[in-house]
Amino acid sequence: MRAIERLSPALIAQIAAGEVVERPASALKELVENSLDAGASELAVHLTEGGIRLIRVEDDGQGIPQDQLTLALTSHATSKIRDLDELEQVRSLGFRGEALASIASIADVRLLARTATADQAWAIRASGGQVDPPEPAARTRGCTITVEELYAHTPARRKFLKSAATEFGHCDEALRRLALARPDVGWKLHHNGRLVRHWAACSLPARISDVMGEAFAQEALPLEVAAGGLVLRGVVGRPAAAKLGRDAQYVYVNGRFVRDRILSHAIRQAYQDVLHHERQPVYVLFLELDPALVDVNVHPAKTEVRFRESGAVHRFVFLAVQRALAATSPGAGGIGLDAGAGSIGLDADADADADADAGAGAGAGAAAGNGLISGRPGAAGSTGTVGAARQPWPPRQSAWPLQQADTHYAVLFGASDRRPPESVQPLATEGESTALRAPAPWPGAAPAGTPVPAWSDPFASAAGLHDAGAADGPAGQRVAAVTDTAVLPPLGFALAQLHGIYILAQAASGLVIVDMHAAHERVVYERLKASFGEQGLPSQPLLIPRAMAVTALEAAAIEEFAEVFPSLGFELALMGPETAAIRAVPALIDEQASAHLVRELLRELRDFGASRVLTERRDALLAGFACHGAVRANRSLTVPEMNALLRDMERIERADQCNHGRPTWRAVSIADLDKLFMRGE
Amino acid sequence: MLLIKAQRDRLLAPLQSVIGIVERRHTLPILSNVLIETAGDRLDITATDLEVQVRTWTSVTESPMQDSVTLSARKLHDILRALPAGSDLAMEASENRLTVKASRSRFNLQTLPGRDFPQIALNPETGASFSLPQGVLRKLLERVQFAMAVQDIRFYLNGTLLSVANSTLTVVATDGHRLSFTQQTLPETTAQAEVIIPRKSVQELIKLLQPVDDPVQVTLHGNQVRFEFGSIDLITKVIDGKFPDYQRVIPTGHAKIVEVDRLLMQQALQRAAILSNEKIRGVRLLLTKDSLAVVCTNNEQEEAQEELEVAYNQEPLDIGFNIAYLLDVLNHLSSEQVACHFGDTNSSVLITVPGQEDFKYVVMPMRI
Repeated sequence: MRAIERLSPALIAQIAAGEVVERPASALKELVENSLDAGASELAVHLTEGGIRLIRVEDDGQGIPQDQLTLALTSHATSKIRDLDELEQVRSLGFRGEALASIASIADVRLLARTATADQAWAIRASGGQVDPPEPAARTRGCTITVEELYAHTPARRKFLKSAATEFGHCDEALRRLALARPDVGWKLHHNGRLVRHWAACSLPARISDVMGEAFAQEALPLEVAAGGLVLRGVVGRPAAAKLGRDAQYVYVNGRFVRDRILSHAIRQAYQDVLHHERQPVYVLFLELDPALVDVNVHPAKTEVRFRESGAVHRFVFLAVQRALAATSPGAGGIGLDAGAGSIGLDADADADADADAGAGAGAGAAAGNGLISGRPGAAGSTGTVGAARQPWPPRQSAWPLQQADTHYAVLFGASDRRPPESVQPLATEGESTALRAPAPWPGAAPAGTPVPAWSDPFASAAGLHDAGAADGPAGQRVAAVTDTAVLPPLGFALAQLHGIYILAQAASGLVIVDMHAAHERVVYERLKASFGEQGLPSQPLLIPRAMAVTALEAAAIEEFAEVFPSLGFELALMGPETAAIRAVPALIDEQASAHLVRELLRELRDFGASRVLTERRDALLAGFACHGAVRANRSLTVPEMNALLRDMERIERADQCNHGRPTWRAVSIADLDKLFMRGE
Repeated sequence: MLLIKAQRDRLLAPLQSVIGIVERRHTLPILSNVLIETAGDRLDITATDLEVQVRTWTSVTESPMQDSVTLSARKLHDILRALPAGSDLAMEASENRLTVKASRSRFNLQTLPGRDFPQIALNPETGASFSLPQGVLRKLLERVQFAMAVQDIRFYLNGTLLSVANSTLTVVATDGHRLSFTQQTLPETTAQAEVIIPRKSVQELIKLLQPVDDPVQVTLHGNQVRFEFGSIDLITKVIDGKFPDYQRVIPTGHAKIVEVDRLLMQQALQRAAILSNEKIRGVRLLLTKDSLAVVCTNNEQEEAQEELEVAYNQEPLDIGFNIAYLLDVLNHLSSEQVACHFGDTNSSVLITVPGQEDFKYVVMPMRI
């Protein structure tokens, strides 16, 4: 048996370094954080071979006096905190006094620094734990630290490093995280002698745009909410901008990048019913709160934090993000069509071909490019003959041609018999004026506080376009009227229904295509949610209580959150150490699932201090009702009905996505259409 | 080879009485078939879903040999129903085919061997046995069946309790929200026993039992119960579990008793229900001096109010319910009056038929 012995200080430092300096990117993070804590306003980072060979960080911070240089490389030496009180109030990024010592124990480090008052700069060199005395050197105020041959003294560790390109990627990501939090600092990153990143000091939105790319910035909703000592600012991406990975999720607590379960859960919940379940939201959020209310000393890399009142933080973040996202409707302030739900590129024509093919057999009629209205009856005419020749399998019921003939008729002679009565009057005077009636105010604009634009009468415009296309009349006047874009609401006015599935509408920027079912589903869902409100559901006490087995942790949560349950419609009682009885369940919730639901509720209460399980479950039910209550495909809608739906969409929140996170509408701009037809080329 | 000759009507009626338990979707194909057994001029038809089995017989014109075969219950039923009434038909069986011929129609159907049909073997152990008129048993089951649970994980609630002791038969069903209880005196005394009959068997019994005085013989065979009545022999497995102690749940001593006209109350509730929240179905009953008000509101803040004249002179009461639970009991009773026994706002309510001790319905209020 071997005797117990004290480890050598060098080995202790190397073991500690294993935790802090996992890879070059973590060393870089520590060095840059030191520079930021030293008050740097310009930072330059040089990397060679992804930081494995060399990391150099230059800053213009306060520097280090000559007599403290040696101490700076000693473990548990820091200027950032002095005692426990200061640790609890810590505002600097670092505080452990370990990073430099750890790095010095495993690499060759050269520290060059000059304070504002010093006559000259001093340099110090350390290699494998051996520190040489300081010697004079040349430099302006600030500090340069050079780390060479990281892991030179721990070859075992070095084997775990990935390729230089991968390590550079990690360094780059580490720098992005830091740079996002400090837009006031200018950043430069050189790799193998080439300047690869240059972010000048700027405002936060500009920095987000610089670091995350302009596309992200355009799809993002700004956010700034303060309440009860908590401040949340930053941007959240629109649901449509969601990605498959979690790589564009940045959360900062008091300027420190963290990966926190409570925060990411709260944000994810806020995206609850606007995000497709496989997608991850994108966001850059900064949470600020009293440092005394958060414990950052949880993990050596400080990416984990603990909140003293996690429930309150969870609720605050959830509400703030949810409110920001509620603005994702076509009419909401400032979100025009250009930045809207996205536009369709040139590949659209391929889809159109395929559609027409499937819709009406094959043949000459399926010249889908001919235009939306005339293409269909043409194709339908061929069903009888060509369809028979092709014999599709499985056998298909062929269509009764009468309805198509009717459509054809309507196209040729105007669907005046189908048009609602109120459109008759504008029709009689069309061409002279399109704004006969008093323009209705646009409800969606009211909350934004912008002046309400007036627009021309929807039916007159639609009718004008219709007739202009078919009858080749004096179209100029009418086209001018309908392209008078300043007066159109965001989603424009309905033109027609396509294959019983889509609504085509003319908006200021061009064509708007609305998925009728998805859009109506969202409208009905939001209406149901509003009518049920945020208050709890009625409670149904049980004649025969339902017993459920609980764990010790769950039992503790039942006691701790006893006062929460009645407000949620539940009544729980502990029957023994491992048994609880459900005495009442919220009405509307399926009682069968109540035990499962209670378990979920307890888990969330325990982990996050707050739970929206019940609201979510209710919303899921409402979403189901909404799906059944919404108009189905192939239900033909009249123009007034379609316009009513468009106006509803502008009015409600979260109208850009259906309940399952699919988009409800898309825009094809006139520019895109021009490209399709090579106009102006 | 001729299997049977018979009149269409002679076959259709017995087939109709067994087809109710044939499930539409199966992993075991033979369960969608009926078993047909012939002997002399007698034809036995059996259907099962492995939980419950119904067997019945009929006489046919001719069946020259003793044989058994199974074929699709639903297809045979649909064919017979579509043939003209009174038509004569013949069934001929070959290897794995059966041909139904009637005048100029012929149908060639697939069959599976009769010996493969999973008949329930009657448990030889016999327990309590009693008989009562068919119509009486049917009425008892009808009065409680609506309170059975549907696919509850507490499996013992997905059925109806039959309990015999001395010469009393007690029938109880509950889904954990409300409970329905009824009792009947039997002509003879019998051994004490309690069984839970599965939901599907109860519903099938209600369909098969006729409102007549002919007796139904009920015999317990361990984990099975056998009901024999008319030409029908129904064997059902019982649910192996302990039914909740229903005696404890039935409140006693509720002092606020209101008698109302059943039909008036039913109609008032039906009208008010139009404006109840369609998902939550809440209704408030407001008792004041000599008046019972029924109030429903929905999410759109629309309100329905119905007022019934009652004899009541105690302190006012405001209590909420799931309206479906109230309508259920009113729909399934046939008396002119019902009596509601209220406690306070949070305690369960007892509904009885005045002058009859044999029916009790308990329902929990809803906190609206």
